[in-house]
Formats: sequence, structure tokens, C-alpha cells
Amino acid sequence: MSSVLVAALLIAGVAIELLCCLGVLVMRGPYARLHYTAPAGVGALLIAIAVVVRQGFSLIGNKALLLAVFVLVTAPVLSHVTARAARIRELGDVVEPGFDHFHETGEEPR
Amino acid sequence: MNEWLLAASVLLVGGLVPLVIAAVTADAISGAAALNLGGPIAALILLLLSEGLHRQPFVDLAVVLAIVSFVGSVIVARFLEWGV
Repeated sequence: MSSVLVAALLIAGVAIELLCCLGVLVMRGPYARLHYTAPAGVGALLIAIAVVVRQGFSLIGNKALLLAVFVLVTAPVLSHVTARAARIRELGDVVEPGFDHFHETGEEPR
Repeated sequence: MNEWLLAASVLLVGGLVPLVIAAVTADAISGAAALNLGGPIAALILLLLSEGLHRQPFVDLAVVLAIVSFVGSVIVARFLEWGV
């Protein structure tokens, strides 16, 4: 029973990671690609739970959970930092708080 | 080959190769997006390898790689922001 659960969690986690990679490869433009980087934390969490189911809360189980929680927390931060860099490269620094370039000019984001 | 090594192999081939292609062929910000995803996936591969090869202390490498790749991705994004 435990091995079935481990295999299911592993397959689900790896599938999520593969779909994320495929999304980054297939999508056009940096903003669309960035949407596919954040769900990697969910896949990492599933793989870490598979390790915990197999090994329990041991040396590797605790660290796998730590790794998954770290990835889960930092993935949105990285998305934000990269999207901010893309926007500043495209439009220059944000000089006026609350000014929405796309709303004011009617341009479509890339 | 057990299931952990199989999962690591699948992630190595099916995960990192598309990211390398995306990073090489697309623009710089898209490369940074691929880097954002590549760091955690490399850390997960190390985690799966240490479990699959029964070298459990090596899981420290995966944790350290996750932290270092996060810092590296932030620095790359800041450099791109400055127009490098």
C-alpha cells in the first residue's frame, strides 16, 4: 500500500514539474512563461511527501520537506522579481506610483 | 533501477533539456524564467538521487543548491533590470 502511494506521489510530482518545463518552453513572451515557474513548488511538495511516506520523519524526510517548503515559498518571489525586471527593461523604471502604463496607453503586454 | 532513480532520470531529460532550449533560444528575461525553474528542478534531482542511491546525507546538497539557486536567480534578475 505504501509503495503504491509513493509511486502515485512521485508520478504526480514529476508530471507537474514536466508540465511546468513544457510550459516555459512552449509559451511566447516572458510574462506568459513566468506563469509556469510557480507551480514547481507543488511538484516539489508531492515528491517530498513521497520521500516522507517512504522514510518517515528521518534525516532525509525532514530535509526533503524543508526543501519543498523553501521552493514553495521562494517560487512566487522569483516570479515577482523576474516580472519586475522584465517590466523595467521594457518600460523603464516606475516613476509614478499607481501609474499603469498598459491601462493608460491601451497597449497590450507582450 | 528503482523508482527514485527513474524519476530523477525523467526529470533530468524531460525537465532540464526543455529549459536549456528555452534559455538558449528565447530572450534574456525568458532565460531568467527558465533559470528560476531550473534551480529547484536540479535540487529535486539531487534529492531523488540521494534517496535512490541510499546516500541520505547527500540530501544536504539539494537543500544548499535550492538556496544558492534562489540567490543566483534574484541576482540575475537584478542585473537584467539594470540593462546588463
